[in-house]
Amino acid sequence: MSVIDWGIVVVYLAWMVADGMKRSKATHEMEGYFLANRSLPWWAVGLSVMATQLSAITLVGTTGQGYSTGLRFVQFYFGLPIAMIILSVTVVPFFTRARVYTAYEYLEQRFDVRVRTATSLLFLIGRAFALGVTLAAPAVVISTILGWGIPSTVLLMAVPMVLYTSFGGVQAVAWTDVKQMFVIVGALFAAIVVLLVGITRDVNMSQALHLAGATGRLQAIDTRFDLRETYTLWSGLLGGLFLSLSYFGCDQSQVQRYLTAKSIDEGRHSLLMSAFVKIPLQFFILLTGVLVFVFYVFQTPPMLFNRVHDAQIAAGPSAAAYASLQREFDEVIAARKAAGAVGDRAGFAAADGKLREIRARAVDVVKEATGDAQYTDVNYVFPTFITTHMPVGLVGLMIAAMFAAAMSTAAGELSALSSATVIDFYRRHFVKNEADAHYLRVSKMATAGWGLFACVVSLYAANQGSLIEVVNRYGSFFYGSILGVFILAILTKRANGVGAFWGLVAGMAVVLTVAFTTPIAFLWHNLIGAVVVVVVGLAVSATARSARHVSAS
Amino acid sequence: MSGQEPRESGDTPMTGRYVLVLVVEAIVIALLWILGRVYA
Repeated sequence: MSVIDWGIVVVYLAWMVADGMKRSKATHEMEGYFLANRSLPWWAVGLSVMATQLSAITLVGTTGQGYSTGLRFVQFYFGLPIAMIILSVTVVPFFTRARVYTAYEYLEQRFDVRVRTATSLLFLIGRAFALGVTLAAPAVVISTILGWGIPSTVLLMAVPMVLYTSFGGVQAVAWTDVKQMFVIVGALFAAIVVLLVGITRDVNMSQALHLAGATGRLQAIDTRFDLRETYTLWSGLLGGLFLSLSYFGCDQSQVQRYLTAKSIDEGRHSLLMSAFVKIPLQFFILLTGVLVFVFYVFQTPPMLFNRVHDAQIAAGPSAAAYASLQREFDEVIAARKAAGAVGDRAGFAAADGKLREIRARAVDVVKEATGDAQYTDVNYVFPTFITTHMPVGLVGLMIAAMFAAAMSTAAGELSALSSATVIDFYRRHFVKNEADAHYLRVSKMATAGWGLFACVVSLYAANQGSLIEVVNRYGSFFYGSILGVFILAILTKRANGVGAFWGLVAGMAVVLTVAFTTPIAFLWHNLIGAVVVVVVGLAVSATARSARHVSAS
Repeated sequence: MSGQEPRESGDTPMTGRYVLVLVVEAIVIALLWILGRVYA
């Protein structure tokens, strides 16, 4: 990176930290710290919600998926708009009127303290691991670019973020998110312009899209009903609906956002902003990955985008096999380029299929040589393009956007973890009648503690497959079951605390069994978890009611 | 009570907006399907 790029990164980071710290002036009470005194306008809440989702994971993981498999990942978001409508009608007015700090606080009002504690605990476990992944994604990117170790990169990112989140609370999170949203979209737009300029030197846009289409990368919709396929129209509409309902309706990191809105309507408008914008936005991010693919048809790509293992492999027993793969790769790349230049779709698709196979074999060589069974190349595609093909200044902007987006997203999750820890555990179970200032102090300490935990998790998560899938897989272990409890709470009158608790236990058990013993794709885990909780919850509630009637009579 | 009143007055039905969300989503899915077919 040039001095100019470094300057942009440093100035941007300093601005984010200063802006976040400035918000600490309005956080002298718990309601200001965790809920911004319920005063934020809908557009700020909406942009904050979207910025949380549009994290560094989105930039790195989704563009990588666009490059390797095309647009099909967009189906994952098909359930989101429907979920936003359902949540606007149900939980937004419920939570706002209940004037709660956390979503789980409401469950004690409706059921009992055991259900509240269990769901809040599941949230803490799931979200804390997801937070680790949120930090790991940009750490992978930045450590590759700078040649630093992942631990030092994580620290560089986490320390300022924990600092301003601890002092500024949710206000700092929301307002830095708003700025992040504009910066990330601006940086993405810049990347698309650079890609289009690069691609149209060799082919026009129509030809470029035909090349992408020949390899199936523009095939966004898969109408097959196959439970083993991760991304289909049906898994997106049904599984994605339940995942979105769980995430936006029951996850404190999202609920906390619309609890900061001025009114019920402002909360609804903030969610509907995502309903309108999310799918088109994800489409453009995936399309960026597809354009990177077309760009590398005419610019020779590396066999593997992550080059950090090259020296190790060259010095080891796999050196000859790897060099042979590289020669084969170079030949097929030339054949693909020639086919692409003359519009030979069949030849192009055949060469691309061969390249996939060679890359897969190269990945196997790396796994064997390094002993890293989780090695994946997909997360290095976009960062490699940025650092090798974007002009000076824009590289700094892209890196700054990734860096700060990750911090901003992680900051929101940290704030939510802190609120659940203090409100649902510390104040509810341990120290019940202290002054507001005491809980505020503990909240800041809890924020710092979760920040430390997330750093440790991120070191592990950095070595897992496609990062965006890792986040969603972690979430899917818990989300569906938690959603089932909220369905019992809000949509039924027959459920009671005993039923909700045992329904939750059953839901978790079934989801974990399905996840580890069947090939069913993870998006369906949300639906399965929610259904099991509702069915078992209603059955146990009915049994408990009958038992009470019998003993009463 | 003064804190409660604006909340209740800020609670209006948004049926038209919900229908619009569904219509926009249907159009987007249709366009994505067409994109795949055109360049397949």
